[in-house]
Amino acid sequence: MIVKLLRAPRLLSKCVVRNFSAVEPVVNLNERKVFAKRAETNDPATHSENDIGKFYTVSIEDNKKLFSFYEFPAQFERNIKTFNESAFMIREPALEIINSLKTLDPTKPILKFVIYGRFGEGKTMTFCHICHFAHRAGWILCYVPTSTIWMRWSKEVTFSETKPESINIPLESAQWLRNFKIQNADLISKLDLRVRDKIVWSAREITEKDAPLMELVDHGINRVKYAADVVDVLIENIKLYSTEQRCRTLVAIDGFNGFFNPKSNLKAPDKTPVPPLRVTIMQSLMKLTQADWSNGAAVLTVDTKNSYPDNREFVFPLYLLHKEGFEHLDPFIPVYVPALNPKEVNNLLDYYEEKKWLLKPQAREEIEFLSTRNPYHLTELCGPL
Amino acid sequence: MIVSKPWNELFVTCRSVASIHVRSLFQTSALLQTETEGLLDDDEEFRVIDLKKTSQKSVKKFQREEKPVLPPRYTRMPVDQDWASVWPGPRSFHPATVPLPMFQGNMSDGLPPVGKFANAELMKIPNFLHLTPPAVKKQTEALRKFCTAWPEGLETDEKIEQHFPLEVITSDYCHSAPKIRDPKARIVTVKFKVKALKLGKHSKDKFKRLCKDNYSEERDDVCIVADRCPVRKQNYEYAMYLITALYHEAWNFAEWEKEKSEVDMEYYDWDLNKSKQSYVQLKCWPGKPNPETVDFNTPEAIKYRNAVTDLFNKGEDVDTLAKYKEAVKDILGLS
Repeated sequence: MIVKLLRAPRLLSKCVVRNFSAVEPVVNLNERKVFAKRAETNDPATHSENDIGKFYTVSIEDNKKLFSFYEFPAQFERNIKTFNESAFMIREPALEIINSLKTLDPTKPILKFVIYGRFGEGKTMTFCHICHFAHRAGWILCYVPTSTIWMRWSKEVTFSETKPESINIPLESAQWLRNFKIQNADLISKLDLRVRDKIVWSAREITEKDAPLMELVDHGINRVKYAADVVDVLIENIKLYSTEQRCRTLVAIDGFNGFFNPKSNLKAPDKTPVPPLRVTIMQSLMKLTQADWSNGAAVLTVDTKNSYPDNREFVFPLYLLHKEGFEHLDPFIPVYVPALNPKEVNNLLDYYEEKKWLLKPQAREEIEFLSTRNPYHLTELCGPL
Repeated sequence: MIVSKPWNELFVTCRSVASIHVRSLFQTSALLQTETEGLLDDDEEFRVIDLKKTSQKSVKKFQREEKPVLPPRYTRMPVDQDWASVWPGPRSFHPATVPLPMFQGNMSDGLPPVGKFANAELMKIPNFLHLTPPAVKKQTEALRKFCTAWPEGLETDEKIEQHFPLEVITSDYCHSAPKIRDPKARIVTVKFKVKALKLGKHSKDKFKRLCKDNYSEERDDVCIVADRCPVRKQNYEYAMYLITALYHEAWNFAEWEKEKSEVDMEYYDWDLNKSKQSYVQLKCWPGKPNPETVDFNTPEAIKYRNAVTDLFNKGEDVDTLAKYKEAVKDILGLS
């Protein structure tokens, strides 16, 4: 029998050699059809514990409305273009926060959640998931994904005319107002929220009492000089309306620990250094995270990348926020975003295979091991495969 | 007769007479040699300046007498020798004395590792060739006759600490040098645990602050090194004086100590911090925060207070954060 096999190299190659060969068997991609598990609905409010690890798709309209400006991690932004859809994985930390938001007591002070975790394991994606839920559930979104970028480079830095010793970053403030308008204009006009007090900006520019709130926002966008003050007034108004239970508000700030850095890259017009809390828009956002209003929630992330370089050793909230930041937020609920579990890794790889991004399905276990189940590294590893 | 001879012959005879004379001089004293030579030259011809220095005497090179090299000592060692007497004390490595094939260091590709001869690496590293088990055994056997039995009741470290809270460390060395005094002999180190002293809440904190760097947070002990006096006894007495002075000063309460603020605190006190105010604000919502109306003895308040205190005092980790999360959920009514 052996002799026969040896004499017939074709036979040998088929039945024996293949098992010992280092050459990968060719998989016919047309034959193998893998589909990632997806949630039944694309509404984040309906998802339950059973949907953990599954995907749901954010519609193009929502994506444009909510996440059109620096929101996603760069890698996910690229993948949206490649896969032609923006699919979020439903994970436990996001569900935990969403469930708390669903059962929010409107008479109690705002709930504060601090999301923390290691790099690339899904802090910002959890954050985006919650924002999408809040948007769909009819909450007003005060959404600040770029505070760190403001502190790195701002095109214009001026002294504030209303607050002594404070600094305005008018262009960035106006940009934020524009985003706020894109995200919330429909909702605010539907809720019919109006400006509470008459505001005199200058001899000719006056915002009347009971003018629509969006008029105030437009004023800030058109008169960039007043943008920072408009942000302040807007935030005061929203806080009061929320407390009166006329609206619900979600404050979402990415990289909140950046607020408590000892320094920023900005220089005041007189060349003095500017710590983040000397900037007016940051002071206004700090008011939003105080627990002196109700019927709202604050979802914040802390990230080592937003911290000052000598303060990046651990990912824990107290370490990153310092005592000052901790006392500002206390009592808050820390939410840890862990690495993916095996089920989630499997579904993510299924998703990449479905999208033909992963063409060598044999390497699954190896990818899982090499990436340490970190979704960022996992996606990087799948790139050349 | 002299006159009849031609001038040439006369000159030759004179020269021969002179040479005989010189020879006799040579025999009498070697010291006069150069002098007579100079005289001779003066007689014979003018000296010529030798600018190029062509006629230099060749100097003979000094050669050291080669001694015969003995074979390394280990070749003459018997197999059953007493190693402890070959290598009795600490000493840097010597290749001829150690009868072991030793290698240290790597060569570039393909070459075998370097052997023990002329290998500086082996001399750099500390060796324990004097501490072989038989050598240790031999030395302990020699010391045994000076030892007494271990006292009863001091079996564990805790018991020793309890009965002898003070540890005094001195050093006694004898040197086989021209000066037998050991400079370390007068230095006295005193160690003790802070818990061995009877101290209150305030005095304990003050004691630690007075001790400054001498107090170790990690081991909770104080270490005092006294080396300012010339004699050991004086240094020991000075150390004892220091301990007494520190202890009594710690119990004193000065007027200015009332100015101690929250920043100066050595531990996190929830009652003095903003966390308590936040809790009051939460409990009094939506009214004005008034600490008198809030009950701080409810189980949830105590749990929250402990969780925050642990977060600051024990440090932040997975456990303390989980405890904090649970406590916050309790006071917010989420769980």
